[in-house]
Amino acid sequence: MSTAQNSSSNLTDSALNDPISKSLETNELIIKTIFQNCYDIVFRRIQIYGQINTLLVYLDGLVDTKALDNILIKPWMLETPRPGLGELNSADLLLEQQLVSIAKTKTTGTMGNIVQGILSANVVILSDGVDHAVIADLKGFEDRAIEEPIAEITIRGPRESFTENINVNTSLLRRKIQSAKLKMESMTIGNLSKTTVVIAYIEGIAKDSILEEVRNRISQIEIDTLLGGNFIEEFIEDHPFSLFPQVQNTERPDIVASSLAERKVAIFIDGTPFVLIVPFTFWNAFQSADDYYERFIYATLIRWLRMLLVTTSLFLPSIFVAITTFHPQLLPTMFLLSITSAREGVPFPAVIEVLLVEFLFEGLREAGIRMPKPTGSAISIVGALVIGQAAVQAGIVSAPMVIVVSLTGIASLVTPRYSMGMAFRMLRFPMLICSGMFGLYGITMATIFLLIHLTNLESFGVPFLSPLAPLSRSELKDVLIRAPRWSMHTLPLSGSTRNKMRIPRTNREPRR
Amino acid sequence: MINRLAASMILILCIVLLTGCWDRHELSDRVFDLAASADLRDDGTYLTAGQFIIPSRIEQGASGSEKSYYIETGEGKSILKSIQGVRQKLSRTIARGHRHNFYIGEKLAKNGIEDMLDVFSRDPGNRIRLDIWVVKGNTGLEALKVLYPLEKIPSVASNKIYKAVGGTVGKSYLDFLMASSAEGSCPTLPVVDIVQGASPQETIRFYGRAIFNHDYKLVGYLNFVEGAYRQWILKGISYLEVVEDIPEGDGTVGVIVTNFRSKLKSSITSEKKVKMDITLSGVGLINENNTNLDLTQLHNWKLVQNKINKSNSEHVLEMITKVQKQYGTDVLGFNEVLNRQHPIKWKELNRNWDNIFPEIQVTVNVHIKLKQIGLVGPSLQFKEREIKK
Repeated sequence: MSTAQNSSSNLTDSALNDPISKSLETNELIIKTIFQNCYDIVFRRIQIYGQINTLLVYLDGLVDTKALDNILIKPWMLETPRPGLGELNSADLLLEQQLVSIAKTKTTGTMGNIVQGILSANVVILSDGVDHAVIADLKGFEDRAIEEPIAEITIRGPRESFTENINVNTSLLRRKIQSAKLKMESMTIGNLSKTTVVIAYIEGIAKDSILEEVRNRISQIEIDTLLGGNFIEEFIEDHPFSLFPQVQNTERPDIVASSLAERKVAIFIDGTPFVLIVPFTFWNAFQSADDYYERFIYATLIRWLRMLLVTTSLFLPSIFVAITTFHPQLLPTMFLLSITSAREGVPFPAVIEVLLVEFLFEGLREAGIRMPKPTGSAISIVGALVIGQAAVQAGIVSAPMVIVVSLTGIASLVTPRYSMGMAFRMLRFPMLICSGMFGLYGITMATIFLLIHLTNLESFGVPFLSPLAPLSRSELKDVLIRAPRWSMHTLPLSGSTRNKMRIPRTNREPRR
Repeated sequence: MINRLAASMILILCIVLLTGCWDRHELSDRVFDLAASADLRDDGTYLTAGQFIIPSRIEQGASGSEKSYYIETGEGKSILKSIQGVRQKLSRTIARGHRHNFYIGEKLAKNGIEDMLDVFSRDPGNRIRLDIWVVKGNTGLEALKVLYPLEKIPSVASNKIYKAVGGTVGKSYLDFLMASSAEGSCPTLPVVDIVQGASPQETIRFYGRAIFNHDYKLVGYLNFVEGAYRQWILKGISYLEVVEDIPEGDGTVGVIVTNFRSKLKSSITSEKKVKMDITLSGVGLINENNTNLDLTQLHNWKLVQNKINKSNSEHVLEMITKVQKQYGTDVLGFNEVLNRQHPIKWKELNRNWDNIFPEIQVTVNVHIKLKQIGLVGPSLQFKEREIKK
C-alpha cells in the first residue's frame, strides 16, 4: 500500500515540471493522476460554440460556480459566436483575450502552475490543440465578513478588524494608506500549506536595516504548514527563550498603518486575522490605539494608569508577602492590625496562601477562555462563590489575600498587548517565590535581574527598552507621555534615515 | 559554555544567599506591642511590661467586654533580663516595629535611664519615631493599665492627645538622643500622669515636660503651659490657648495662638556675660472675652493685645528663670543659639556652660498679634450701658 502511494507520488512530482501537451486527453489524464483520490476536484468538458473542445478544472467549493455558469458556460454553450471572432480553432490567444470574460487571468505552460492554480481556487481552462492553459480567478469560497476587533477594543477608533483572507487584509491597509509608496512583497511559505505571506512597508520611510532583516529571516523559514502568525513569529524572533514577545501582533488595520508610518514593517499571513509588526519594543506594550484617538492629556493620564497597573500586577502579591512576613513595620499600624486579625487562623504561610489563590485564579481565567460558551455562568458562579466566599469563610485563605489577588488579576488585564500581559503574568510567580524567601531584598534582586534581561533584549536590531535605554530624546514624545500630534515632528527609530521629519515643524503653534 | 553559565549562576546565588539575613516570620508568629513600660522596683530590679495586641479580637465589631490587648510583665536585674522574663510567657516573637509609646515610671526616671537607652538604640527592630513618656507620680505599668475609653487600644491615646493639643508626635526619643549628645544641652521627655476622670475609671492626661540632667536623671517637670512656652521657643508647637487678666475690663480674655515664630538673639558683653533676647510672635484669635470691653474699638483692642503680650512675656520669663535657677539645665536650646551666633567664643563657653547657663540675662518679648475678635465685639450678655466703649 505504502509503496504504491510512493510510486504514484513520485510520478506526480515528475509530471509537475512537464510542459502541457497539445492533446486534451493527455492533459486530463495527467491532472487526474495528480488529483487521484481527491473527491472535490471537478472536470468539466464542454465545447465552445460547438467547435472548441475545452476542459474546465477546478476544486468544488473554492470556485464561485454561479459565476462560472453565467460568465463562461452559459454563453459558450447557448450562444452563437460573435461576428469577428476569427478562426476559432487556431488561435491560442483567442481563448484568453476574447472568450474568457474574467478580470484576472493568466496563461501558463507548465503542469505545476496548473496544479497550483487549481489549488489556489482558480478555474483552469485547457483546450484541444493549445499547449497553454488559462488560469482564471473565480474565487468563491466562504469568507468571514469584516467585524469589530475582539482583542483590541477602542472607544473612538475605527471598528474594523482583519479577517482570515489576506486579500481583504491588504485591501484594508491599502484603504488607509493610499500611496504608491506602500509596498507589499508577496512570498509563499510552507511546503504543504503554500501560504501566502506579504511583507508590507512604506518605501523611503521603513528602516532599511529592519526591512532587509525581515526579508532575510522570512525567506529562510522552512516549514510544512503555516497556519498562524506565531508560526512565523517563533522563527524570526531574536530571543526565542525570553518571556517577552519581540514581535507585535494586531488585528487592527489602523495600528498596522500607523506602525508602517513609524518606520516599522508588517507581515501579513493568509488565513489569520492577525498581522505581525516588527520591531516591537517594551513601551509599545503600553500604547493603546485609543491613546491616539483621545485628547492627549487624557491619553497621557490613562497611559500612566496603565503603567502603574502593570507594575501592580507584577509586584503587588510579592510586596504583600514581603511586607507581611519580613517587614511588618512598614505598614501603618492600624492597617497592619486589620491584616493581622484577618490572617489569624489561616493555616498556611502567606506565600503559600498567595500561590494557592493565584493558582485558583489562573485556573478560572484559563477555564473562562477555553470553556464552551453555555457553561460560562457556571464558571463565574463557582469562581465567585467558591473562591470569594467559601474559602475565606472556611478560613483557608484570608480576605486581604483575595483582595490582593483579584486586584492583581484586574491589573494584569490592562495591557493593550495581550502577549505582553502574559509575560508579566508569568513573571509574577518567580517574583513571588523570591519575595517569599528573601522579602524586599529578594524582590529587589529579581527586579535587577529582570532589568538586566530587558536591557539585553532587542527586536530586529532595536533595543527593547529604547528610546529610554539607550536614551534618545527626540523619540520620548510617545513613550511615557503622549505628546500632542502637532508636536511629534520627527519619526521614531531614527538614526540613518533619509527623511527624518514626519510633519513640518511649524505645523501648529498653540493658539493663544 | 554550560560550565561558565552554571558557575555564574552559582556565584549569583551566593550573592543572594550569603547576606545572612533570614528574618522571615509569619504574622501569626509575631506579637505586636503597641506600648511598653519600664519601672524600677524597690529591690533595684527592673520591671518591664508590654501591651500586646490580641489579633483575633481586633476584628470589626468585636468590641465590648473583651479587651483587644493584654499586658505581660517580666523582671530582672537589667532591661534585657526583664524582657527575657516577658518572652518566657509569650508564644510568639515580639515585633517592636509598631511600638509608638514607651512609659517610664517616675522612680526609674529619677534613678537615671541611661541603661535603658542603650537597649533602645542597639535594637534594629526598634522604632526610631518612638515617644517615651515619663509617668508623673506613678509607674509605667499603671499607665499601661489605664483603660482609655475613646481608643480601642488605649496606649495610642497619649500619643494622640499630644498631637491634638498641638505637640509634635514621634520625636521625643530622637530629640532625647540628640539633646544628650549635643554639647551643653540637657534632654527632656514628655510627661503624662494618671488622674481620676469624670467617669469612674482613671484616665491618662498629658502633663507637660520632664527635664533630665546630664546623667539622664529626672530633675523636675514643666507643666502644660510652661512646656508649651518652651516648645514655642524651640518652634515645636502649633496651637496654644492663653488666658490673661485684664484689670481694666474686670475680667479675663482668652486667646488661641497659632502661627508661632521665635527669634533668639544672643550677645556677649565685654565682661563675658551672656545676654539672650527672645522674641516670640504669633497670631491670636480671641475666643473668650469676660471683660466689659468692646473689642471692636481700636483702643480696647490695643489695650488687650498689649496686656496679653506683657503678661505672657512675664510668664515665659518665669518659666525660663525656673529652668535656669531651679533646674540649672539648658533645655531651651540656648547652647545651639550661641554656637551658631558666636561660633568662636562658644569654644570657650561650652566647657563651662553649666555654670554660665543659670547666669544668662534673658529678656523676653512676646508679640501676639490679635487678628480676629470673633463674631461679636462686646459680649452679648452685657447691657448697652455696661459696655466700655
